[in-house]
Amino acid sequence: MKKFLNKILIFSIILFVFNLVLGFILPIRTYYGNEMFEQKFSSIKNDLNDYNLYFFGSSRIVNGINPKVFDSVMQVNDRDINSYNLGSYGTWFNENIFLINSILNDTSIKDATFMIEFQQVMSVPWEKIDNHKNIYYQSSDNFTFILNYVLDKDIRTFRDFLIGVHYIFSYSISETLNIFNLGKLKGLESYSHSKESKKFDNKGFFAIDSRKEMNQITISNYQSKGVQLFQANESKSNGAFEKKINEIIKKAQERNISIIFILTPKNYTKEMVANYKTLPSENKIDYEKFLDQTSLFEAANWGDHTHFNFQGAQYFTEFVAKEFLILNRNEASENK
Amino acid sequence: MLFNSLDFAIFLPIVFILYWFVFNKNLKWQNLLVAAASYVFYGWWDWRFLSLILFSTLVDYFVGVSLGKTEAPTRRKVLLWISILVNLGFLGFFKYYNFFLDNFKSAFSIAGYELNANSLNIILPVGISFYTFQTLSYTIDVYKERLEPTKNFISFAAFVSFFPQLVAGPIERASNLLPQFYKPRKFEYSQGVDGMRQILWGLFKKVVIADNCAVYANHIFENSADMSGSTLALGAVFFTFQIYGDFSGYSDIAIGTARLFGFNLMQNFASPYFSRDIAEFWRRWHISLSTWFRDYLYIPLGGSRGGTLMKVRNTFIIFIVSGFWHGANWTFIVWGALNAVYFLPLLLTNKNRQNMEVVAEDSYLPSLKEMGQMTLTFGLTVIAWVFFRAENIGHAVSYLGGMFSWSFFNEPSYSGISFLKTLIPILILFFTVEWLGRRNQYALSQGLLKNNVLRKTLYLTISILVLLFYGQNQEFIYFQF
Repeated sequence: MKKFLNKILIFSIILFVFNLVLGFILPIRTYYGNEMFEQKFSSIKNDLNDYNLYFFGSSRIVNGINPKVFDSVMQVNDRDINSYNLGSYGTWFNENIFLINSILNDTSIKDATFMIEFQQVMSVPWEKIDNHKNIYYQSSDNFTFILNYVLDKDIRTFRDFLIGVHYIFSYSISETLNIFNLGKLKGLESYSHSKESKKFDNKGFFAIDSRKEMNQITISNYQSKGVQLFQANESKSNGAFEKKINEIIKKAQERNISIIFILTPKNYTKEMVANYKTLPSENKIDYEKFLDQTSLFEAANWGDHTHFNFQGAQYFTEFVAKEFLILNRNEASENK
Repeated sequence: MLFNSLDFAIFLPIVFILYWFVFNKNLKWQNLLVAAASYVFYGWWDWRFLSLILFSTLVDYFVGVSLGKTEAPTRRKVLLWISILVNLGFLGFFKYYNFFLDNFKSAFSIAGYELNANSLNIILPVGISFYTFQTLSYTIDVYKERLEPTKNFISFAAFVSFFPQLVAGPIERASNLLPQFYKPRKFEYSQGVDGMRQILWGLFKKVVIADNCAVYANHIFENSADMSGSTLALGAVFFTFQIYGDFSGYSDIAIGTARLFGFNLMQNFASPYFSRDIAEFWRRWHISLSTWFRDYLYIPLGGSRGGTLMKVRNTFIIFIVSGFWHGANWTFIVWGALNAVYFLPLLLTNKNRQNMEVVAEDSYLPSLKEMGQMTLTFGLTVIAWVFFRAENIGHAVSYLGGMFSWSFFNEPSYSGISFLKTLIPILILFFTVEWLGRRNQYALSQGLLKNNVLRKTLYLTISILVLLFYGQNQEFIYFQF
């Protein structure tokens, strides 16, 4: 048995080393794990400088921000903005940071604005742990961030402790799978095989219809609980998270790109609220104004309990656009 | 739980460690662990259907015990029929209820009557056809007094639910597997290494060959109306490789996993695509099912004894039932019947046992004649697989119609064709290993390469390819059967 286990161990080590080397050699497409982002990015990569405002985030952005509406609000206010919705389904905080970093590293985009959905850091559910979508953006940097994030988490109960352990466990598995290049040759494949058809307009927006009976109470709770959480001051923000945000803001500034975080309606956690409060005011849309928008919390404007429908997207985009104008005016007056 | 999932990659070492390091002193505990692990393995998919396996196990255990206690022929027959009715009853309900209902409704409506019965929304329990046949083999063997009934319930439960082969075979005979649960097992280095090697080759067949071929086959079959004859032929060939890689890959992983626990399962595939005629193909393809039908259906029906009509009848019965076993769809029945049509000329001219040894037994390459025979047999199986893969008979007929049209001579056109450049070298590697290892129990077994460095380089390459091509838990085709 000892000989057998030794043999397995030695073989695994050799396999690990070979994969480590292969990871540098293989011509993998950067965004192979995020089909929607890849499709969107491919469709505009030759015209990146035609746009001066990009949206990033999850399905809440894909379905909630209509760049045509945004641009028309800008036009009315004599602002020359051409925006594009780069949101993609199931894209979390870490992945968004990876996408933005990649864009900053690999493209010549400058003098622009990135509006990013504000999200909390999440652990990886077991059933998604070996998905390409979860593996492709993993890195040692990301793992270090997760470690620091967990160490700086406000851990008060045993449950909090277990959650912290799950973060480290899930990301360490994900990073190991990344080092073992799990599924990366799929990344060489053309996405013409893709089952998922291209589902967005020429500005990256996709509207959903109302799919089921909306429960007004659930939606109203987003607002009322949000107000309660933002009024309370009981949680501490996460230092590692703050540092990560500041890094990306600074990196973007070097290219004259301003970063603005936007909230989308959902259930927030105490930590998320505390983190949002620490954002510099010029890099976020005021949460109080956001939570005041009654039309955003009316069931008729929702496609399902997590996403706006077309009409909801119209209201949400108009709100974001107006707040963007206010932020710009404030910035301009400060500069004067 | 899928063999090609991270869940299994964690589950297997845990069970392995418990089995050899914690429960190794006591056979009963080891068997109990195997049974418990098997229930976890199956319950991972849907725990509700564990009750079916448990019920089947209880019925067959008590039927076996009762058969051991009685000599009365009528009582013995009743006990046998209880087992057959319970097992086939489950199978019939879960797998064939809607099929029969829909066909009865159609038949009645042709006759001018409307049958008011609704189809049920039935979930097919994974692997039901496999474990049902396995337990049936036990009761039939005990009834025929070819096997002593077991009084050891834990061993019997572990035999019925043995996780490596529970959901997609090989369908083990009680006479082979059950006695292995009675004897103490000792870990043997060579058996462990052999098991790992076979698991690796099975994963390669599934993850690299089958799943990649599936991308092409699915796309071409789903859009067959718009494809040229040559593209359709390519799609059928891809499916031919997919089904082999998928199913024989599963069998390899199952047999290899069983080896890690000190069990020997029967060989299920023996390089079937190197067969020189259809009879040889069926001796090499899904051996555990073919021999099951041979022993429990074909021979009791009279086999190849009797007159020509009897032979023809029995051949059609066994092939059609075998087709129907795969699924409740006319496509499987036609697939079985077509294979019977291929097989009959050989049987009637007494040539069905002319190719008993592996092709090119003593040489590296086959003769021109053998090449021709293999190509013809392969071509025939490709045509038959179209029925197996198609959605319905109409789809299969139009697919074959499109395939055998003038556009067969056009260059295949398909949007993802450029990726073939990556796939072709891999298919060549696969084909080469399969050819060189055609004499072995499985292609990658130790005898394949004598040179140690070459052999380990091959293992490393295959492991890397498995990791690189890993796709998110692609199910095995045979799970649906």
